[in-house]
Amino acid sequence: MKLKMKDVKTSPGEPGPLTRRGFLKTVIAAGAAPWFIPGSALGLAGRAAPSDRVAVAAIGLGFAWDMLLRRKDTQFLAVCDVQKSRRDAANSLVDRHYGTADCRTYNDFREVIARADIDAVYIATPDHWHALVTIAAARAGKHIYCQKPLTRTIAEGQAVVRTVNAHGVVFQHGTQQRCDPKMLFGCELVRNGYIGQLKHVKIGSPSGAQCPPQPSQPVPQGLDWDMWLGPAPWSPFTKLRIQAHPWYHISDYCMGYIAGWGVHHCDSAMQGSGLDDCSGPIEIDTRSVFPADGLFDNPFRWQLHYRFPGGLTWHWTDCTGEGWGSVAGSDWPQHRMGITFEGTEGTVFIWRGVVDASPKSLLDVKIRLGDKVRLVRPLGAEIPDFIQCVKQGLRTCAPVDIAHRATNLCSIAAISMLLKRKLTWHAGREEFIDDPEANRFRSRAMREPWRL
Amino acid sequence: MRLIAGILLLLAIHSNHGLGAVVSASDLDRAIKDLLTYTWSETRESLNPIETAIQQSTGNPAVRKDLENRLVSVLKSRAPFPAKQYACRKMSQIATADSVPALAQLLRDPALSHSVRLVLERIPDPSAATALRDALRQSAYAARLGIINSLGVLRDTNSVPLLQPLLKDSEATVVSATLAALGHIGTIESVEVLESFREQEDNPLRVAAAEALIVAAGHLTAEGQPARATAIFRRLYNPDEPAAIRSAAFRGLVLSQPGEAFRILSEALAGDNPLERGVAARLLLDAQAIPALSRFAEIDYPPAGQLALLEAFRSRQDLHGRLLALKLLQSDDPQTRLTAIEAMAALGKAEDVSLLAPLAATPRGQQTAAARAALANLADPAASAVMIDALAKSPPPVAVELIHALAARAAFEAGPAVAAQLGGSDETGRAAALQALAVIGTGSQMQAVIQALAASPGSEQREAAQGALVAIVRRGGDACARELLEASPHAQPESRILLLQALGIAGGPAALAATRAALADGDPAIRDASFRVLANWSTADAGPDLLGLSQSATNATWRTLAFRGFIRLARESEAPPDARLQMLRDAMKSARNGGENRLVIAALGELRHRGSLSLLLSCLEQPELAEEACAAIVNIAADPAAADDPGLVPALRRVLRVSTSQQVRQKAEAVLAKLEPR
Repeated sequence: MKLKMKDVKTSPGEPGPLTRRGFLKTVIAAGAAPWFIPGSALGLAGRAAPSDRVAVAAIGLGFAWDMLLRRKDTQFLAVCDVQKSRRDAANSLVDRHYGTADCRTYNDFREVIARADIDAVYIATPDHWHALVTIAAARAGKHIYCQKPLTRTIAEGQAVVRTVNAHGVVFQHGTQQRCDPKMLFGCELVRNGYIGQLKHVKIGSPSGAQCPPQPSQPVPQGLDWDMWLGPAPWSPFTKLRIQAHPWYHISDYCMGYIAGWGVHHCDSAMQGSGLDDCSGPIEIDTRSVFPADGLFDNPFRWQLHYRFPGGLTWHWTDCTGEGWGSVAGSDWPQHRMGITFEGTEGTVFIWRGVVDASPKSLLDVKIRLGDKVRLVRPLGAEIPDFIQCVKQGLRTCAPVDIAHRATNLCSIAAISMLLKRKLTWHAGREEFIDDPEANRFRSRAMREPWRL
Repeated sequence: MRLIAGILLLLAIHSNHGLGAVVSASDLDRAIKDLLTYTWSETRESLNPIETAIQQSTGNPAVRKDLENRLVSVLKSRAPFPAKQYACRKMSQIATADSVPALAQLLRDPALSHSVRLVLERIPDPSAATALRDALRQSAYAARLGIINSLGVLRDTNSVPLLQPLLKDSEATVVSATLAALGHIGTIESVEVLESFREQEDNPLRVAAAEALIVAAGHLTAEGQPARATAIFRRLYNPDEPAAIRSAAFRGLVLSQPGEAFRILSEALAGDNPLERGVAARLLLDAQAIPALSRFAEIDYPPAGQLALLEAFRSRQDLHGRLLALKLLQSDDPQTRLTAIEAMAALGKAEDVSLLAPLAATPRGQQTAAARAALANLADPAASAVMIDALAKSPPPVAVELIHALAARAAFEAGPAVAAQLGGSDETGRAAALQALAVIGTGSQMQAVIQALAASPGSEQREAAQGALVAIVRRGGDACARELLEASPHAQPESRILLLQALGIAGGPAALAATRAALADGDPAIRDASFRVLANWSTADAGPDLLGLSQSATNATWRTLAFRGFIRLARESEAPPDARLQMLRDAMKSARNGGENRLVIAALGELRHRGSLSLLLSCLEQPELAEEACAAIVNIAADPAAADDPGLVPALRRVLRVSTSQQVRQKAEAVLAKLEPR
């Protein structure tokens, strides 16, 4: 009989998870000015939201924007999308939820950001818009929850980090695995040496997709196609372009599933490997299969080999595609979905809500004081964490600099796959070493009038 | 020339292995020809040789030049927009200054301008910026916003005189783009233009100019002109600017003057300006921006400033903050005290145990919880030793807190001191000690726990003692068996059952013998408990007992449980595969019904031992077992390690004849396809 984690009794003094602290509550309670001053409380404009609520707007009504709607400490004031049907549906949902008719709809995110009564924005646009919306929001002093990956290019990520830091707004990246207690525990086991010296990490994340050529179609009524394209190269409308997940597989809008999905596991692998602050050279070598034809042009199968300073290696494969073995070659392994850390004395596997280990006894380990790494447990999930950080001016569990580094690890893989050769990336200087050709792909000109 | 380039291309491709099929010059000719008529909705497969050739020609300038020339020829042709856009995408990887004249021609084309800029921004040659500047000089030019943006991206200092007049343009979008470009250029000259623009009265783009200046000042700070940057930040840090600009400017003031950082941040912490304090607090968290915090600890800031500073010390685990935390512990304000207690976990020393333990023992809501957490988390490695010393001397409520803290700290060295508490008169203390021993107890404390088990009248305490016993045995393994065996004869029946269960967890030959003996005990409850322990035994040495019982036990439930226990051992024990296969063969002989046979077959499928094939094939003759056996055979065949077994292919063919399960048949066909030579 093996003792399971849930069976472990905890004592009142259990060190347990490190949680966020309430010191700024003290600042507020002591009568000093809080860092978070709701827009409405400043009397700047708009409706009078209750002073303890964070006034929010969703820009790009993509994945999970309504998570903020279900909270009592947030108030939706605006929804923005370039598809009228989506923004109208969202608006109805918001107004039904509150029993009011106060929520406003927008086609252009700049009008949302110009509203002084909005404190925070939730960005779930396609990836090629992330940088522009985030930068505009930061410049206007809005706090930001931005879906992953952070940006489409490395240069965009650099600009986002600079701007968010300069304006001191709270930022959270949609890499919610940093809020998963089981995954955090697994990372703590690895970081604290319970599997000996970490030698190798295996990552499996969903495969990409293929799609035949698509006919050009008339732009449907209610869609601002030019705005949807934004900074991306112009192309004719075809309905698959605007659908998630098809747009993930088109390089004009996304690096593909390697970043569109894979950044989750890449980020967790980074956290478990203790590479959040990695500033040295990283070798990246890749094998990949791109669709030979059709609308999609991002790789749908891949084998990524990373070598980090100190000799740690990662091997990252796609893991869900079936029937493509003949395309890629039968020797292509597919790691199981999740992250497996292999050390000299054991292994740890993590996946959403799952931690496993060998030897199994590691699951009984209690991370304690002698352990050098104890990861902060955010408030249950990513959205509560974000709102608390907005209210108290704290650093979120997935801050902008970490988001940028995780996204960079995907970007350098995407560039290596494109060039089909090994590259060496200097994580501190954020450039490929002695490789002008690869460095060209750090940035991409934006279609006018858009700029960073 | 084209022929030579083609030969060079082939040579280059042959030297680059692993990059797909070889691209010949004729393939490339065909691809370029197809590109001339390419449109979006068509297949692009015939264009792939272009990309492959680019990938395969890395490091070969001659081949690259040929490819560049071919793509330039597309740009110069009457090819449609999608074709030229495609050509530009590929050129952005390889184009050199030689392509700039052709590209410059297309900058005037509003549709293609973006694609052209994609290439120009990536050409590492001044001629790219020159082409952009030349295009910008054209009056009333539709694509000029993009060109202005590209000049900003390239940080083209030569374009400042050209950009300056655009600040008077009638179109706000042009002015706004120009401001941003000047900010990105980030030189003294561009800053002067920006500042001059910003000083204009009734300027609707004043904030955009301020934002551009912040970007420019960031460049100046990074590029060795901090004094000029400071001057910019100082001017922007004024009440007329929006909070977002002031916040960035104040941060810039600190970062551009490292020598003044302490003074500025100190004033911010001491003052009553929430924006400044907020910026200061964020910067203090950043060890790269503010390397040392110790000087701040010497200043007596107002409460809000002290708390911001304390958070920085805590977050950075800088022990210079301990005195500040101790000071704030004395605050009249409960929230401040709470914060200070929380910070003690990171900043406290072992000697602070004497301060925190009484706080933990005083019921006061959040403060109690914070003190307990601080004790449990106190980073000083000597803290556990101090707690152990204090245990015997502390009043019961404080001792209870120390016991809990020691368990939470997984302080195994505290086992003896905690076990000693089991002899105390305080019931809460004894319960806490048992709880703690479940976490930190070792074999040395087993005797004390067994005694506590025997002496525990109440079910709650008994449960705690049992929990501690089980946890200790699980950690200690068969080394614990001796003490359990010694205690067993003297124990009451109820305790004997618990000891038997603990023996099952401990394992080992002595424990197995004792369990076997207990099967013949006079007490039916002991007999039943010992049987259940045996049925859950984890090592294969219990196998013969279980197989025997599955045949000979008079109790039908025992027979069934014994058989299942035997199969479990064959599946899960660490015995060698051959031994486990033999166990399953024995089980097959002993199985009394189809259900038990199927259990064995499923286990054979999991074991994936090629030696089991003949046994499974024999099961195909029996309709009630055939489907289970087919699934097991496919499972074995799917194991790559079994691929060289000559019996596999005939076995799979038989599966295809016998099985009616679509899933099994599909799997069998998939494996056969791999195994059969094509």
